[in-house]
Order: sequence, then structure tokens, then C-alpha cells
Amino acid sequence: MTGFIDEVVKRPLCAVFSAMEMFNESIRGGQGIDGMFSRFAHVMASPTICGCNGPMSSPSVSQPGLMEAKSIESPASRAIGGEFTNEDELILERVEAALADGRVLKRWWDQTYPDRFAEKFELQRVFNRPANSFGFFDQVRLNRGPLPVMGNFQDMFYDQPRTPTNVRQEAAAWMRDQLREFVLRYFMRVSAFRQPEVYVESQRPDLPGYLERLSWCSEPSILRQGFGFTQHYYKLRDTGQIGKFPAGSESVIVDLREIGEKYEWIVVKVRIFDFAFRFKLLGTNGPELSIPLAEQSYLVLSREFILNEDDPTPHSLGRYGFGYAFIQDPQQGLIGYGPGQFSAAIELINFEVSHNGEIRVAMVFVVNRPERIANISLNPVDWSFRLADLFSFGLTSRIFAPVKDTLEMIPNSVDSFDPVYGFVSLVNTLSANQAAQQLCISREQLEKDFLAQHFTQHYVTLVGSLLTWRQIPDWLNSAALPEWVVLGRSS
Amino acid sequence: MAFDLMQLSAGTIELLVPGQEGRVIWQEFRNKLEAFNLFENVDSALDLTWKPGLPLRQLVKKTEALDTYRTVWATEGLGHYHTEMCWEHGRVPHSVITNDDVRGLPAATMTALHAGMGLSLANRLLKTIEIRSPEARIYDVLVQFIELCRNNAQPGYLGATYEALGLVIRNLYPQLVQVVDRQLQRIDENQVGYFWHGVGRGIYFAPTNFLPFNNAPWRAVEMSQREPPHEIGRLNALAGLVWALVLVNIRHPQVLEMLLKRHRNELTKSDAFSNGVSSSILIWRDSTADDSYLSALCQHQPESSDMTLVELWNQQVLQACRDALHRFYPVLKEHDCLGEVFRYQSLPALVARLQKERTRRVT
Repeated sequence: MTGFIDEVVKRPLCAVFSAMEMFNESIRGGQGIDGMFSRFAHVMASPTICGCNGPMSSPSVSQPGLMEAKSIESPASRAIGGEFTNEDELILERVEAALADGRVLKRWWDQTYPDRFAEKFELQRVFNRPANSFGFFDQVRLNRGPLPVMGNFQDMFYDQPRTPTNVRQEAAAWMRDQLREFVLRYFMRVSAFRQPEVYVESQRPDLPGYLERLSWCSEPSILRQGFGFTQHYYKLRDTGQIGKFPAGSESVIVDLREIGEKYEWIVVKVRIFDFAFRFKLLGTNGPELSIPLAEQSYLVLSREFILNEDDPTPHSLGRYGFGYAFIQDPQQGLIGYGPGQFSAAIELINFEVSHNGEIRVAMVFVVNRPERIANISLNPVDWSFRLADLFSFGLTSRIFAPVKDTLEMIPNSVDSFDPVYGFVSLVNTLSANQAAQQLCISREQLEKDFLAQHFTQHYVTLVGSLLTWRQIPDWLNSAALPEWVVLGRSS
Repeated sequence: MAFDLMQLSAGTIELLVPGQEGRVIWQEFRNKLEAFNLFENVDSALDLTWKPGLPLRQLVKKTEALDTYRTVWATEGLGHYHTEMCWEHGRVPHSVITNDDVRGLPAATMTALHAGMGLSLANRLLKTIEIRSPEARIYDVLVQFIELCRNNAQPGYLGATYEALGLVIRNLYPQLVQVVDRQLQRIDENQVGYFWHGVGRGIYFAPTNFLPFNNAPWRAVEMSQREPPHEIGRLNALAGLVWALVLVNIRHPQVLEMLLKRHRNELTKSDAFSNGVSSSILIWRDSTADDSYLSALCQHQPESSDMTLVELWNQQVLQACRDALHRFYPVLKEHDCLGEVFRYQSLPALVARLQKERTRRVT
């Protein structure tokens, strides 16, 4: 009797559940259908009703000795102290792939610059300032396949010694030593800064809540600019051990000269201040949708991205710089493209001191072209629970988690929708592409806007860092450096 | 019974369908159904009662009543069935095809048994991966899989066991294809080749390519070139796809002929197609000794006035058959290296290397 029930009830149910598990996987349509039908057929025909304990059930494969002969270790098994959280592991497991992509992009850049790009275009103009730039579109062959990329190059004047001509040579050599220390040791600690803030009287008494809204008194507000770097993980070069930087040392970015010597790589997080997503539906004079975003991204720095060259050419006293590959965030947010959401990207920031002491900065950015800009969920279950959570302070999702999981297994042909590219496609379809040709409503225009925004943010960061660079009389005198520089608390 | 009914219906429809191509497609569907049915339902095909611990020798003996074609597929099913019994017995399989019980088994059963065992090992281990398992966990499972294969397979047939991973992942865990590719690259480059060869085989058996509609099975070629992210993957996936198609349709060379006719441009861009043909012929030769189906395939000529197709057939299929039977098989068999053909690689180079090693040993 048990056998009969197993075959007539349990097996078909197991087959259905096993097939339905594919709904939980983010996978392309055809392969998902293959997975569902294969699972169904497999459970129905299998000699045992395996999969009924859940296709994710664990057979007892952990017999002693099975793994003893294992000669290869996983990254997690090499962790120091084993204190990694799930979030740490999700980041760490993406490091090597991001680095591999970054190395390919860097090699591609070295081979392609200055004029072998498939499409090169003007990006920004800076009036009466010695800076120039260009943007480009092209395709790079990564290990995992071809990737359409875009990017920009910007080159700008940074500083020069103000000294009489007869001591110019000594001054240039002094600038070189100063710059080396500043770029390789301190730049990442001080590349974020605060804009001037309104003075607020600290003696002012607190107002009751109902009066606060009527007050004209200045409120304390912090306006940060630039990039705020913090360091999180590292891999030691000698032992291959992966570790986490101790709490409290996140802002004290290691001396970049140690990368390649002591560290195989380090992972840092960058917070990009003053970053907003802007979108104008009705042209430049129309209303603008501006969403200020707390953008951040994990980055990995390895030896290939560090530049430390003294006297590289007869006209150059030194080249110093750093770069990084972007690590894609495991979580997907509302914005489908931007820092944290790049599938492959690198940034290089290289300074050069000429023989007369003039310093210039060249910055390179190469990134995958966006497939989508925004992710608006089209899942009604997700909407309903978000709404309910709003009124229940998040309790609904917690209490009804099993119900939510079950409802979310119902198939949905479209997971999310991109209103930005959706709009671009719609107006171009309706106007036979006239919108793109005459009004610049096109994906390409949006991509150029992204690059322009990228240019501006790096320009602002470099100009901002100039004040920090100039206010320290001697970067080599570490004992005399202010604490906020040493500890990386510039903002 | 459902499969039998489907086969019967397909046979009837095949008779009614107008045009040569339509009939070939329905014939291909019937063949695939028969092979799949024999593998998945080997217990009912051989009238086995579920008795964990039944010696493999006794199980294999039951295939003697079948013809050669059905024997090959049923034997692969037995490899899977026998390994499943080990799992159900509450133990991790060990020495499944290396223990004393296996010594008396015909050598012709080895490839199919190893391939079937690989499917069970892969599926059981992959079940332990949870939806949000980090890649490090998947890496560990892959290492376990390789270890289990080594503990259970004969060294010469290890490739047959490794390759099963790709088929299982492509069809039962398709969400893992890309991550497994990445992790295998860290473990061993050769494993990447076996994996994508298995994926190619999986694409052939994928449900969306199973039914004789929507341009199936021909669109599987396009899938084998689209899904892998790199050249090694594409070469192996195509070789694996062709391999499966040849073995399933070995009694009907016109299926292979139709594939070549439909995809002549894609299939002749590399030697992956001829590699798939040669490798499958080798394995069929090893699994059936002197089989009449093999002779018929190796003498088949397209009934077509399309001279380009005839020429292609001679170059890509007949030459591959001759090479497989006369140049490659004797050397690979002698060196106990048949498992090597479960991934795309230059067979002439492999054979030359083995011969060179032998010469070096002799001198």
C-alpha cells in the first residue's frame, strides 16, 4: 500500500515540486524550461523517489576520508580566523573574477590607447583650464566572451613648483619625491572632502517639534565631495591567505607599494559622494527627475594597477598612480547600472612629473555598456509585501515569509522592467528613430551622459585633492602630518 | 508505458508526415525517446526488482536478451541504477566499477557503465547545493565530485565519468552552468573540456530540443555555440552534441546527413564536428565490438544530387569513421585511454603522443 501511495501520490508531487524549484532560480527562459521538464521527467522515471527529500536535500557525502585527498583549497578555506560573514564571502568570491576581467581590460587599454578605438568622440570641454578628454565605444574579448565597452580618458594639469628658474631642477626632483609619497601612500586616505558648511550656533536651544518646521535658523548639514575609500579584505602574497583588515583600520589605506610585495591584492570600498541619477523626460528645459544616491562599490587593487616608476623617460621624472577593478555588488538595487552594478570595469589614476616639475594627471575609465538603467520590479507579490511592510514596520514579510516564498514560486514571465530604456525604445519606435536622430533620445546619448558625469566627478575630486596636496608642506615628514591625513579622516 | 506510447505514436506520425526531412525529424525523435526510455527506465526495461546490493554482474547479464543498440543504452542506465542503489544503501559509493565483482564484466560494458555512474554521482552531489550557496561551496562540491569519480572509476574511463557532470548541470541545474565553468577553470583546465562536452550532450537531450517541432533538433547547434562563454566551451559543446546525435541515431545515418545538410557552414568552421563523429564511433566500436549499424554508417552515402553535401559527408563523416576505427581505436584501447575522447581534443595528436610514449618506453 505504501508503495502504491508512493508511486501514485508522492512521486508525481515530488516531480512537480522539483520542477517548480526552477522558479526560484534566475535563469534564461529556454534553460529554465529545460530544467523544469528534465527534473520532472527525472523524478518520475528515477528508480528511487530521490528528490522528495527536497532536490536540495543533502545526501551523506561527508564520509570521513572523502575530502582528505583534496589538494585544492577554496578561497573561504584559506580565510584567516574564519571570521567572514555571509556578506564577506559573497564579496570575496567575486574578487578573482573581477580581477581577471580588470586585467583583460587594462591590457586592452594599453594596446588600444591612443587611437585604435572602434569609435572615439569628444566628451567634455573645460574652458580656460588645461584639461582635455575623449570618450570611446568598443568591444573587448574577456575570458567569458565579448563585452561591449565604453569609457573615457581625461588628462589635466595638477600642479607645478613656483620657484626661480635657477633652482627649477632641484624643485622638480623635490616635487617628484613629494608626489610619490602623496599618491602611493596618502591619496586614497584623503580623496574625500567636505564643502564649506554654514556656521551653526551651538548655544541655540532645542526647539519643540511643532516649531522646528517654522524655524529659519541654519541647520547643520554636511556636504561631502570626492571619493571615500575604506579597506576591507586582503590576500597575502606569500601564503595566499585571505583576511579582513581589523576594525578601526578601514580608513588607513595601506601604502600602495605594499601591493605586490606583501599583499597579492586588497579590496577597498569606495563611497562616491554627491552622486545623483538625473533623467529629463521632456528635454533640457523640462522637469528633471533627480535621485540622490549613496553610491558605493567594492574595488580590488593588485600589482598590475599600481604605477611606481622613477625616471621612466628622459622627459619624465616619475610616474605614480593606482587603479582598480570594480567588483559587482551581489545585491541588485533600483538602479541597474552605476558603481556597484558594473559587470566589468577599471579605473586608472596616474600622475606624472615632467623634467621641469609640472604634474599632470591622466585618468582612464573602461566599463561595460549598460544593458539596463533601472530595475522596477513587476512582481505583484513583491509590491504587495513592500506596501504591507510600509504600514507594519516590516513585520508582514517576517510573519508571512513562508506564504511569500510560496507565492513567489508562481511563474512570472517578466521579473523587472527598465522604464528608462523602455521609454527610449518606445519613442524611437513611434517616431521611426527620429527621436534618436533629432532629439538625441537614444541609448548612446544616455551612455555619453554617464561618461560625462564620470568625468565631472573625477575632475571635481582631483581639483578638491589639490587643496589637500598643497596645504601639507612636506609629505615625507610623516611625524608632522596632521592626524586626519594619517588616519584617513579627511571628511 | 507513457514512453512506449509516445514511441508508438511517433512511429505512426512518421509514416504520415510528408517529405523526407519531416520523416527524418520524427525518426530522430523516436530514437531519442527510445534511448532516453532505456536509460531512465532500465528497471522496467530489464524487469529489475528494487534490491539494493544486487551484484552488477547479475544486472549486466540481464542485458544479454537485448539487441546491441538497446544494450548500450540499458547498460548506461544500469551504471546509473547501480550507483543509485549504493546511495540508497546509505553509503557514499566507493569502488563501484573497480571492485572484484566487476572483474568478470565484458569490457564492452565499461564505457556505458562509467557514463551512467557519473550521472548519479553528479546529480547526488549537486543536490547538496542550495539556492544561495556561495561559489566557494560550489567549488567544494566540484572537488568532491572529482574525488568521487577517482574513487569509483577505472583510470582509463575516468573521462566518461567526469563528462556526465555537464549533462546533469545543463538539464537539471541549468542555473549553475556559468558558475561551474568558472570554478572548474580554477580546478583543472581539462575538466572544463569534459564539462562542456557533457553540456553539449545535455543540449541534445534538452526538453526544448526533444519534441520534433520548432526546428528541433537542428537548433541545438546554435545553442551549443551560444551558451558557452569561450572557445573551448564551444568546441566541446559542439563535439558533445554531435557525439550524442551520432550514438542515438546510429541506426539511421540520414539523421546525421540532415544535420550536416542544414548546418554545413557552422559545422565545418572547426574540427569539432568530425571530432564528435570520430569519438562517438570509437565508443560505439568499444561498446559493441563488430556491429552492423556501425558498418552501415561507415558505408552510407547521401542520396542527394547535392555534390557539396556528398563531398562534405565523405570528408567529415566517412573519413572520421575510417580514422576512428583504424587509426585511433587500436592505440587508445591499447593504452587504456578511451576516457580521453569524452572531451574535444586533437585525436591524431593524442594518438601520436601515446605512440611516442610507447616507443620511448620500449627503447
